[in-house]
Amino acid sequence: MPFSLSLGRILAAAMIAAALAAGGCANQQKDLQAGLGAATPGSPQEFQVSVGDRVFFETDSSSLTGQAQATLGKQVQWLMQYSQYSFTVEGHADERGTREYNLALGARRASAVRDFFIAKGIPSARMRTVSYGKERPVAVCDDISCWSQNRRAVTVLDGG
Amino acid sequence: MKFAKPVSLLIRVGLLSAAVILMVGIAGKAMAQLRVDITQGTIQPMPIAIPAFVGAAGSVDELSQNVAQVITADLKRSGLFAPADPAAFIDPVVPPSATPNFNNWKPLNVQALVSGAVSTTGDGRIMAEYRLWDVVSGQYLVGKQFFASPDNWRRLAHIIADSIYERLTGEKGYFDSRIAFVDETGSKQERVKRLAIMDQDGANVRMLTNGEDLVLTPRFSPSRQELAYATLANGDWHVYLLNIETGQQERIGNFPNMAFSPRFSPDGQQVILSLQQGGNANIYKMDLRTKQMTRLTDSPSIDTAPSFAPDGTQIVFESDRGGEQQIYVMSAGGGAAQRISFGTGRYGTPVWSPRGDYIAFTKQEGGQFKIGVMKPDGSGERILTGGFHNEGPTWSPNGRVLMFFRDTGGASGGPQLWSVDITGYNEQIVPTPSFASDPAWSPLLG
Amino acid sequence: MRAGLTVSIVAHAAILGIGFIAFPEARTLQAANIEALPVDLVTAADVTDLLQGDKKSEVPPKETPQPKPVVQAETPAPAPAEKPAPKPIEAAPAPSPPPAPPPAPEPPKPEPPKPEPPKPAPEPKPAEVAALPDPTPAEEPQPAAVPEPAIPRPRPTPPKQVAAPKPAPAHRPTEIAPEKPKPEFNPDDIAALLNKQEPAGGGDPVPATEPQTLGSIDGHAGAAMTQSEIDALKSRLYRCWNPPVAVREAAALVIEVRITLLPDGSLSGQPTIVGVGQASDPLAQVAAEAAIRAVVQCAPFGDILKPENYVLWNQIDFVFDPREMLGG
Repeated sequence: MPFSLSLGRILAAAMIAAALAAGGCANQQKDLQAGLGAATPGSPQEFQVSVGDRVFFETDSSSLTGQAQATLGKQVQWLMQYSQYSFTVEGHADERGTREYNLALGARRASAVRDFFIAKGIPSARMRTVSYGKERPVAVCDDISCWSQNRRAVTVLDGG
Repeated sequence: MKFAKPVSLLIRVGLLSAAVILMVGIAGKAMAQLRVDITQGTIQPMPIAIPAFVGAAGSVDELSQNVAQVITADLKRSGLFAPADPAAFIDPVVPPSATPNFNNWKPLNVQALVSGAVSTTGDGRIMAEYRLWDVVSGQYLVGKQFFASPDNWRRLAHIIADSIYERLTGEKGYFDSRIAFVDETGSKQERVKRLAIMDQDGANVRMLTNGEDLVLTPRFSPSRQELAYATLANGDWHVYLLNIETGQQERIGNFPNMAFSPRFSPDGQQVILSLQQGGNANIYKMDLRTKQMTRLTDSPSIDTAPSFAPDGTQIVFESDRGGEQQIYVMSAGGGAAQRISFGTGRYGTPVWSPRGDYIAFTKQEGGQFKIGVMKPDGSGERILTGGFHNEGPTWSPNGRVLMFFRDTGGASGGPQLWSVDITGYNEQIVPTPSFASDPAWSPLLG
Repeated sequence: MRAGLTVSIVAHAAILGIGFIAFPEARTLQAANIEALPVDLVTAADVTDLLQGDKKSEVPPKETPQPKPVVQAETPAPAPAEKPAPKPIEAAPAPSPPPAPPPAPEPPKPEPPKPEPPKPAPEPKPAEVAALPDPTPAEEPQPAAVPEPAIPRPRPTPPKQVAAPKPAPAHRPTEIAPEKPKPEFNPDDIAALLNKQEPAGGGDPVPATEPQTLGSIDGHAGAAMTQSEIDALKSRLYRCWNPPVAVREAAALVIEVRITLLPDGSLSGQPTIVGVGQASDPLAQVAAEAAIRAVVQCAPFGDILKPENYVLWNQIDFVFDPREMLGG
């Protein structure tokens, strides 16, 4: 029997197409909704935005504040879940200190975060640390509002 | 024997007279009747006249004029001399072979005069000579002659300036020297930093690295044309040596962690530096020939910015082992360290003067950054300058001038090099092509 | 017999005549006043040294800059490592070519010995030979820093005088960091000045409470240096004297300069160095030259020294002592 475009078949094809299209739209809509609230799960963007990739410190200090520990805890969770990532912890200092000391202070901060991660079970092989001292400020005004933003440790995912 | 009596009498009278004369002579010359104690004077730059040097053809040419100008600028910048305005000269030129007519110089109220000449030798070199005159007393003081290849004419001028400086102040000069520093360009968040070198008067600037990797704290070897510095390359900070002439670089050591803050020993055979271990930084010494490492500090703290005493027996460094940054002195072999900073505030970046008599430092107090000096035992602390930001002093070869960097702040601001005399006077900016930081002053080149 | 007498008379006359001619009166007068002078008795050895010092008129430094204008080639050692181009600076093997600026070799040496003999000093005051009552008031100087016992005489050291009036505000170097608020030159504050923090506020130097008189060389009751003359001398010298700025161990740099003055107050001959704190100090020569310059620049002094006191100030020793000024 030759292929006959019976109405029924056309109708079925149209319905299937529509269903597929609707499904696609639905998927797109889900993606849109996802972009507004959270990035792709397991993406570096998600880590940066949803989890929070940085913690901040008091002047001259490398102690992890409560807030810092909370953020780091979330980071640990994420890093455990997406264990394919290796990462670098960058330690920074504000500009209100001398050159060499700030380099060491940034290293001390990075080391504090690293110790926290290890204590929580993240294998040390996954992580490196580096200090930028006061060389890479994110905020460049001359008061405490900027300096406090610069006293930070940032977890940077490799390849992210 | 008719004359025996008068002769003996003659002798006796003569002796007596002589005795009287001698006593009188003694009394007369012992002390002027009026003694006046002068316990105060005026500290001011010495007025000096430096007319243009005579050139090869017997009259002033561009080279001879330039040599005199470099000498003049050096002496003036030191703050210890006040070169007179050539427009006021009665004799615009004084050939060094002639005695100046001091009557033409006294009205200018100058105390000293330099006459000189620059000429070419038969073998392609240039020769510069000078005479130094005391105008007030009308005396000749000293004269010297130097030779160099033509492209080193600025060094000739600096050497002559050093010679004049030394003869008139008693101190060794510092003009024949160079400054290594970090040239900074780009935005504050993403600064491009390059190693650079220049003459101490700002001339002959040359970049030594290309800015791909961050570089910090260059330091001169005392004996070789070499710099040690820290650079962030291949993921972490390492200490490198750089040959100034060839540009060749060589990493010092192969450490698993951050290495930074290097300095040379006075004999140039060793480098001291900080090695990071976790949260702590400790000071190590490395022999450049044997590569042997010696640990000098061992404390759960940040120990960094070490600097040798010029006799090589001690090391000054900063440490927060007591809670805050302070300055400590220990023997060059390590061991017990004595704290020497005791004022309020935080002390860092200590540097031992080449004369051994002072340690310069950065002090943070009351929201300000200050440059100061103290004696090696910590006494006699004196602040030379202060403000929003001043940091990282380095000594001139004669231990009389400090150079440091000062940041004006602000999003578009940046650091500049400044210098100040050890008395706190004569603070002035050092010209660089862009922002500049981390200056290091070389020893005298000659 | 007669011949012998004649010869004797002639010989005596000749001797006495020679004595009168060769030994001027002035010296005898001076001898008579030794006791009145509040100074040390100096031994012959010291005199010899002083005389030798006068002749040299220079502090023997380590490396003596010869007054010869002969140019010495300098030998800055060329850095061995530098092959590629830069900086090989070499020195000539001591040419000494250029014709020595002809008069230079001699004049550089300030001729000291000459001024001594022709001392016109005592002439003006032949009449006032009255005996001076003790040089009383002079005995109690008020050394601010140096606690000297008031010894009537002979004084072990000359009366030290403290700067009573503040000198004219010193000429301050030009570029100064903005934190220095003090306009006046107060020597006691100089350490605080240089320490750019709150000045500690030094006290005034102790003013001289009594007039400084030093006695008169030949016992003149009225011939005494007045305080104002001495003060005027000092404040003028304060302006003329530029001590070497690069002074570290100021204790070594006490320089004594002697000048001889003509009656009109102008210099007779060159000043001479009669004392150097520590001759081996490399700064000593520099300090000595600065002291001589100060004195030469400040002369003449006719406008501040009273002519009737000429006998007192015909020869003056200035003692340049930077210790107070530079914080020792």
